[in-house]
Amino acid sequence: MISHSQASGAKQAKLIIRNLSKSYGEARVIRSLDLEVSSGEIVGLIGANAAGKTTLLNAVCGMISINAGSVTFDEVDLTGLSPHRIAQLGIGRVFQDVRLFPRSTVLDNVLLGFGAQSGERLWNVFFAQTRVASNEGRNVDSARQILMTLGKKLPLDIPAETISYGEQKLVALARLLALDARLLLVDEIAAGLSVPMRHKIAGLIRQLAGENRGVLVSEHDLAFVSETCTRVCILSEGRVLTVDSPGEILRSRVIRRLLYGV
Amino acid sequence: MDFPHILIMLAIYTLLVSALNIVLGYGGMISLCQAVFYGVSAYTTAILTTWLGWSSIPAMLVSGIVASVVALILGSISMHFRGNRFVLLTISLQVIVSAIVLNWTGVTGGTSGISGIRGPSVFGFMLTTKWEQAGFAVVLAAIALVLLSRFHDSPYQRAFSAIREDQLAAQSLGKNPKYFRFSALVLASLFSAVAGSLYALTTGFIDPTSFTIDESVFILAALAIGGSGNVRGPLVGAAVAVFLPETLRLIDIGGGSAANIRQILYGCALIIMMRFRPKGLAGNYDLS
Repeated sequence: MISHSQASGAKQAKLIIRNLSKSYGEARVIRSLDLEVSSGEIVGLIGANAAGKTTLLNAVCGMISINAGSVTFDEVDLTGLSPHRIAQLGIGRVFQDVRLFPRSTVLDNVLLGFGAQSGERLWNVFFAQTRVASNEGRNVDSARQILMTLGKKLPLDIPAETISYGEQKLVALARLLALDARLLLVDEIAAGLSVPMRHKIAGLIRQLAGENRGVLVSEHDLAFVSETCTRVCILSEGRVLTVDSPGEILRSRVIRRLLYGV
Repeated sequence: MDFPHILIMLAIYTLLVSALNIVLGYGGMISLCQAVFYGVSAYTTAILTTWLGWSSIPAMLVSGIVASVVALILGSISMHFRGNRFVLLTISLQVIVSAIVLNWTGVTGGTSGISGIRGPSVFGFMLTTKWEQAGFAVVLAAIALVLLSRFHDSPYQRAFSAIREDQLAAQSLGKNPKYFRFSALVLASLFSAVAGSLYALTTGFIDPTSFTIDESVFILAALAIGGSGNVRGPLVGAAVAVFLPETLRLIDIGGGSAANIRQILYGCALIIMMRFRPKGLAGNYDLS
């Protein structure tokens, strides 16, 4: 088990997207899209560039407003909630460009993932130091444990910008474990990675889903999708073209034409 | 050299530059209205002690509350202002408050200011000599530095700095930028408020010229020279801000033009720092 949570896996929660639409001016990026992601499932989103994959992830985690439809998670309506509130509900995001805090250390990057930290309340910083120190001590231990169980020995006290790109993606995953996210939104995590690192991350994602987490993976790398996902959803011009198992999807002529033009 | 006066000014500027360090050094919010909190507090202390006969400590506490209220107003207006728009907002606040202080003569004394402010008293003991007052000021500045040191080592600072680096990424980890910005503005206003009260109580006279936008720019320059994002940077900046004019006075440069020469030197020092040492003499971050 690679979660810091003492519970035996995350609590069941389901993401339900209904009739979602998003436009930028005249451009309709997502059109009446329906999708569900249950706990333990890894759903892959594939499609050509500008198919609406990243926009969909942005809509789920509140980084853009939607024009129509609804997004609910664990029966909570996410529409109109701010990104930090959505994160507090247990939805974590790995960005396409990773977005670690470059000048903060590797350890601090992971520590930032922990929610409800006593030392993040200004009053406690000055007037409840013992409680802050004890909470921080526990979080540091958990962060070290998370990083250790990711299976690669990372230097903890150096700025995150100095570690390799693949290692940065591991740290980004570690942050979501610290957040104890029940739904992981993972955007093109395989891009730019070596084959061994890709296998490693695919294994980690499967392991996380095995702990009852839902995972929504936006990806161009079909081999990675095939290795990781339990279901694959193909997006085209903001619509769901089809949803099927990775094997069926990869055999499909429609997909080959869509993605490779053959 | 008037050493007690230098110590008092060093304590005051340590507080002021540390306050800006919280907002700008950690939070990345360029504030050009630090003199507002400084001035509001100085006037509140002067009015409470001189006209209403309050003793120093309660007057300082109320001054801190008044400065915090101004910070809360700034915080609520500024929630939708970031980057250059936040800078313009702080300049506007500075201009508005300076105009109020200058023209609300019934309360502030206008250009004449408020004179005859009693010196500080602590638990009934009047601090009459300059050395006693300097000791009081240094103790308050030292307390502020200890608090800033706790702040620096805290998870609060880690999250606040993360918001500065990448707000969206920080939000995706559940950090609420509004809470951090609000609370940091209030904390900084409290530091500035202590400086304002100290200034009023130790100089015995205040007028609007001490709390203009020039003062806010001067505090920013001191932070740029000393360095931001840690505890020692503001201390170094405050030391430069206080000792440079004293050194000029000692070597008698400029005669009647000393004030102008001082401004030119600060300007040159700032340009040199920005070009060759953007992190300041002892800072962690550059101000870009």
